Amino acid sequence: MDTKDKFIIDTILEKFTDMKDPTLMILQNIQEILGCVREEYLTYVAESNGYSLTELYGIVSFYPQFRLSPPGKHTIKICKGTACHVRGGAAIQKNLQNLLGIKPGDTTEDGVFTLESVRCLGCCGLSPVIMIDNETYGRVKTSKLQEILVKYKGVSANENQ
Amino acid sequence: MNIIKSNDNNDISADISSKPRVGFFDFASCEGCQLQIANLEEEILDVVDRLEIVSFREVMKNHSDDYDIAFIEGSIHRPIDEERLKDIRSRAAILIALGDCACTGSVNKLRNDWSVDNVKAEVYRGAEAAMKNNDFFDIFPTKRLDEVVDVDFYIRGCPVRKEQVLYYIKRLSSMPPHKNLDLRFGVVPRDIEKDVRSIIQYNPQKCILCRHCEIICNDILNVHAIGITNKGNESIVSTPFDIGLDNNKCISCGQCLVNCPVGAFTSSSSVERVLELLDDPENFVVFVIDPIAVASAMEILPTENTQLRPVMGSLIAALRDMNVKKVIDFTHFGYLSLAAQGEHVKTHKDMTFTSWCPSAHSYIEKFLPEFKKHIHKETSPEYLMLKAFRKWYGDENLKIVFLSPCIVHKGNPDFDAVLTARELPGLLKSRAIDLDFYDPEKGAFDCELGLSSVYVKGASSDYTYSLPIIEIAYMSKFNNLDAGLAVTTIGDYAHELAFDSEEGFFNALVIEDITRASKYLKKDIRKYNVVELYPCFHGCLTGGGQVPTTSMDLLNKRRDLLKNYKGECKAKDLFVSQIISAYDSIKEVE
Repeated sequence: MDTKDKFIIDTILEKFTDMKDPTLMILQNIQEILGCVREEYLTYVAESNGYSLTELYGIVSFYPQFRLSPPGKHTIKICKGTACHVRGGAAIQKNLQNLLGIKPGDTTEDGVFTLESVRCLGCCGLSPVIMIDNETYGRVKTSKLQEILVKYKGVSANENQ
Repeated sequence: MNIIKSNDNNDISADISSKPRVGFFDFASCEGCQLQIANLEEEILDVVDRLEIVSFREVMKNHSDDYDIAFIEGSIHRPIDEERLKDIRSRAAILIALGDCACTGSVNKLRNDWSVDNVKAEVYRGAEAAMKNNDFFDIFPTKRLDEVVDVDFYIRGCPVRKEQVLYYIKRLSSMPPHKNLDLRFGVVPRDIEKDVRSIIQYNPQKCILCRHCEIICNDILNVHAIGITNKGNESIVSTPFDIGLDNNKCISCGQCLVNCPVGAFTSSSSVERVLELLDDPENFVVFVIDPIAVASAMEILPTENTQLRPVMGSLIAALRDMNVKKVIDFTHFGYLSLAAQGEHVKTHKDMTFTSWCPSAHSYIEKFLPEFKKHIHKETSPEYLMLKAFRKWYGDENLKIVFLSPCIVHKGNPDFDAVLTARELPGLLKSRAIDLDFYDPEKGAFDCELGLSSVYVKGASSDYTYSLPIIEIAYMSKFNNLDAGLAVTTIGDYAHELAFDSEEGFFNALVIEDITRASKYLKKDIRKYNVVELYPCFHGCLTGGGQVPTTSMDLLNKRRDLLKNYKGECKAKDLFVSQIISAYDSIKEVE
């Protein structure tokens, strides 16, 4: 872990010294600033503040908001709501998993895509739906997935917007 | 369906000519457990087929007060909730607590740490006027369901697993249920494999997530090796980042194992290995027995004897029949260790940990590394025993089997096999041995140490004997013990011993419980000559290899067995001189 990250975590820890049981806040702050709560951050928090690593990991693995690895450039959200499920959301997810070689919650090795499955994106009329960054794709067909993904390779999230 | 509950024997009988009418109700909760039922997908057809749902606010508008079975989610916060729950109870023949909030109070009970007024002030600051005389804000400390009414069945989980709910629905609709039915019956196994990387193994299929192990490991022992990770159906007891127990802070004390109510934690069995060793006629098998393990194994051994001494005699005779060449009493090496520790304390003025427990050593190495140099493994009974065996039986075919009260020895490569109290009946059964068939008088320990067969009270890692441990340690190397040994209890589970002798002033700290001990350990413990500590409550009596028990009566029974077995020492001075000469004969062996 580099000194910059250490400094950031130290500052966060200091901010919460007077608070009763600030564990969750500390972890949220670390994720907000450093993008994720990876193993070395957790170990550092455990060592410097007397928490147990077991407890911290328990918290991090319980709440879906925490990420153990930094997210990719683009986040793909697959809708698994009722409407999308009925119209083939599961097949879309399976295909995307095969194309990217990752499971929901993971990031591709090249760091381009993070795959997430979500409950409902609120546009059931377009089902099945996937969302990449802020762009929504409705009536998705498994045959079209490759085409959609190509657009994002080598383009960062900001440029695309 | 008419369900009739009899108050006498908790039995519930039912006439199943029609579908039972069911209501789902909620109190303070996230409604996630009801959502599990609403989310049953195609299985919902099965449920509707078997039940008539008359009230389920989350999914339907209709409501009727005519129901037989009530599923209730959530905990009770207000007098109006209490009344409503009592009303439901009076209507329902069967009341089922659905989910952790209903069963235990769960997250909702966290607020009971603060007073009701503080909670209100924290959450609804500035709304005091609106809350006044409003029933909705009239709260008391959170109660679980059975603090208010009788609960017939509990379905635990946060959220509950749909398989459990389906199981109950199927049972309730097909035959009269009986209380305290096995919750796990009929539940589809989880898709998580058994963790076999350590001497302590965890099987998620058996685990009911009761958190006993986690509480013992984290809150009582302060070891923090295991915890619940992930959530919902994927919750398991695991280590951070799944690194495995051995790579985490586990001290292999096995308390998670003996406190597991369903046997999700196990240790690998050595019975096969022992049989293999015994089968080879080339092997010179030495069987070392710790009497504490036999005292516990007696609870599961099929024997008519109720005293430890005849059982031990029969066991020794049986072992000899099984091709064991020598049977050794581990206690003897405990005595030698006392002599070694006594000598060490006399010649080294700095503090020494006298605990023999390898888990205690591991605890110090992992949590108090600054005191690591005060552990002297060369004075431990295992070390002296291996040294003695090399001297007596020192050939290549020597195989050592240790019957121990703890699983921690399973990780010691010096032993060829380590059996625990739980495995002993299995070993005897595999050779079809009936202990009562062997004459207790025919079995006696082999003793190459020249110790007479007098048993001294002491030399057991059980706390009640630990004060004499130090007494003997001093006695064996210090003259004039009669000058007086002063024992002061300095706190819960911590005692201080002190005495003046011709050699000077000596003091010791005895700690029964590491959690409460940690504060004494950090506080300038170098001022003591000797520090003695155990990770397990009641010492090795409840060690990780013993038969699981939570009953104090059973523990006292084990204690009494050992007490009667050892008897009182009549000729202390003679015995001490025997120990010292025995120790001297082993000391010089390389």
